Amino acid sequence: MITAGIDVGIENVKVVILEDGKAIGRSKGRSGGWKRLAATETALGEALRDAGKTAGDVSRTVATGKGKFDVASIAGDVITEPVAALKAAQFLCQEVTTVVDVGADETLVASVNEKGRIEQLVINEKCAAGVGSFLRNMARRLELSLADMDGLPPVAPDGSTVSDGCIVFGELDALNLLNNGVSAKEVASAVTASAVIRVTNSINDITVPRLDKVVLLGGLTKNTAFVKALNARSKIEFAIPEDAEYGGALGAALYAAGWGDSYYMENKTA
Amino acid sequence: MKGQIWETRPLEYWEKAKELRARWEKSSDRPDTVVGQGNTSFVVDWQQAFPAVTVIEDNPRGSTIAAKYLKEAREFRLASEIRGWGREICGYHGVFWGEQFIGRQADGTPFPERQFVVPIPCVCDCHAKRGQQCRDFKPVPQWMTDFTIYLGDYDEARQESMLEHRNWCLLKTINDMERIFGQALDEEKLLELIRTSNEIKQYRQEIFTLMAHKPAPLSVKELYSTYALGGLVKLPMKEVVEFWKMVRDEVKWRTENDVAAVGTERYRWMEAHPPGYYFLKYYRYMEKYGAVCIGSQYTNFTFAQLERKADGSISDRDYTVVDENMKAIRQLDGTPADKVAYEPIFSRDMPIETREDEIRFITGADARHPHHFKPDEYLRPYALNEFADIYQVDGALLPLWRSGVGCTLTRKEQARRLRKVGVNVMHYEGNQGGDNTDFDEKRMIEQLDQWMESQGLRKFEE
Repeated sequence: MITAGIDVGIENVKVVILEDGKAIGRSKGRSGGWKRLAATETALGEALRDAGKTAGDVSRTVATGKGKFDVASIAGDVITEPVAALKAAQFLCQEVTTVVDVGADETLVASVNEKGRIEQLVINEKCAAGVGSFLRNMARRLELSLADMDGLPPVAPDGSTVSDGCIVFGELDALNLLNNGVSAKEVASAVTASAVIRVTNSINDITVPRLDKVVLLGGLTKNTAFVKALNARSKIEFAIPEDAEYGGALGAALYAAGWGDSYYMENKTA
Repeated sequence: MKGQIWETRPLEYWEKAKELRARWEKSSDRPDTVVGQGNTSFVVDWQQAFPAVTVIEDNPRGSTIAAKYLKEAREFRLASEIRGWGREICGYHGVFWGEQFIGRQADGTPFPERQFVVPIPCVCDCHAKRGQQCRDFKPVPQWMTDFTIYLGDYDEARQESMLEHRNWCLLKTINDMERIFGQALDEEKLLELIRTSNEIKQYRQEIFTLMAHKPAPLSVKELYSTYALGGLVKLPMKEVVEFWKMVRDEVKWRTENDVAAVGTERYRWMEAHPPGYYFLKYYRYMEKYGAVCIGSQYTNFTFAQLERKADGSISDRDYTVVDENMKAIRQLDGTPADKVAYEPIFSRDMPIETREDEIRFITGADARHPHHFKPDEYLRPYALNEFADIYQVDGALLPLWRSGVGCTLTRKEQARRLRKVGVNVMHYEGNQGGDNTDFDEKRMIEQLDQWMESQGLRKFEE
């Protein structure tokens, strides 16, 4: 059985093609703003090409992500982001006890109970949204690439900080530092540290922490400076699977294939 | 109906509830009445013992505007903000006071001029500001019952004298009003109100006991249109008693016949405080998942003052029983462990022979614990777990608001305690129930979807 999972995010759309429990094709592209549907069609086409399949081969397509309702004409069904993240984490790492998914807009933390169900779900509060977008925008402003940021220390060595409560203030603080002659790399460290504080706040909101195996998913897994700083601050050794960036899309494809279908009450009783 | 599990049918008392509310909205229209603003009493609405005095309570008015007149609510709120009332003031008041500043009510009719103000007696919080606004707007008399408080060692004699001071405040209010407005308070009528006050309470307690039934005979949607009738929404007491009897009879019948408020009920959730009145549709939205809001400490009038008895009924809390919750409260307020801190000084069955006795009953019933600042506020967060247990809830929705009722301290700690007993909690952000400025509808709907799906519920097809 071949299924497709689409994760329509704020920044990127990601597609995974799954055949008999194996990811055989992937693609990623900009989510296209108001042209989200067209961007998704393009990404889906690319993923199918990557898998060597055609649209006719796909039995079922499921979407997730902030823009999931915008691609209703492509996807036969939608699931919410926490369930998609959980499915992917369980698929990639059976022992998962907590899944953390950090994307452009949303930070999602879900603790998993012994039955493999979400025990507690924490999603960032409003002012702490946009961690991924913030880091991308700041990197652009600081004229740094991801590679440039690789070796950054988890906090700025000179003690520079920017607001960790609001990205608008955070950006103003960063500009202020630059105007005062602080180097771009120091500012980048401060910016990364502020993003990490917001993510750890969400992790710390879990009432009964289950930190035996914490799986990190989402686009931010590609930002090694962020991951290192997150490790350092949270004291958690995250498991980052190979397909971590495609977590949402993979979870949707798994759901489309009926993997863990009984998560939903009505499916279970049926 | 897709996903229907239980029989459901419209409520028969609904038309009467609507009629009462509509009448209350026009209650200040009587040309002969002296219109005031504030809160007379939660227990005995003493204004009704005057021939022609109407006190408009700010909370129900503010929430009504927020629910029914969104555009006007914004206009009124701005009118308050430009006069310096920031968003830390309760949202109900932001909109309600705006009506006065602009001189027009939400429905376009002229704002009924206030001739006095009797703010709710509270200490050290924004409740006390409620009188200030009205009095600053126009020099009308303000009567305020002092909220006596003493933080030193427990002292029985001091307790009584502090409560007697409160009695004096209310007595003075009534005497002054008689003198200034030339109206005599009808003592017999006040006695009748005192007698009636217990009847409403009894019906309500029966209803809230019956609501523990599965399927729920009423959901919070119905309760928010009725729960304030006879409380904050002041109406002739006799009619209100008849109304609550009607509600009790219907709820009892629905319970006996398993008639549900929501036919799809398969998940029960609770709140702690009133909702965002500008966004009541989330209750119906949740019903698409088969999730029914069973109420809150507000609608079910449980706060912390009621408790479940051994026979399953819900009635007045026995504050003399020192359970785990009470121990925690004592640590907070410093009551000596060997003292029965909450024993009433003026009991409900006290003999009433004079006006002073009437006042003692009213004051005593409203606040019997002068040593402490609102002891139920301390107990309320703890009582949430008791509420969850009584109503067998699966989840709880607790707002993180910037001001007013949903801004209660310890919100996250409440969630922690609820989670420990298996209640799944979701938070959302906003200003307050009467102010939608910082409320994000789309985000809240997304959060609700995520919350429901994470617990294994999918929407029934629409």
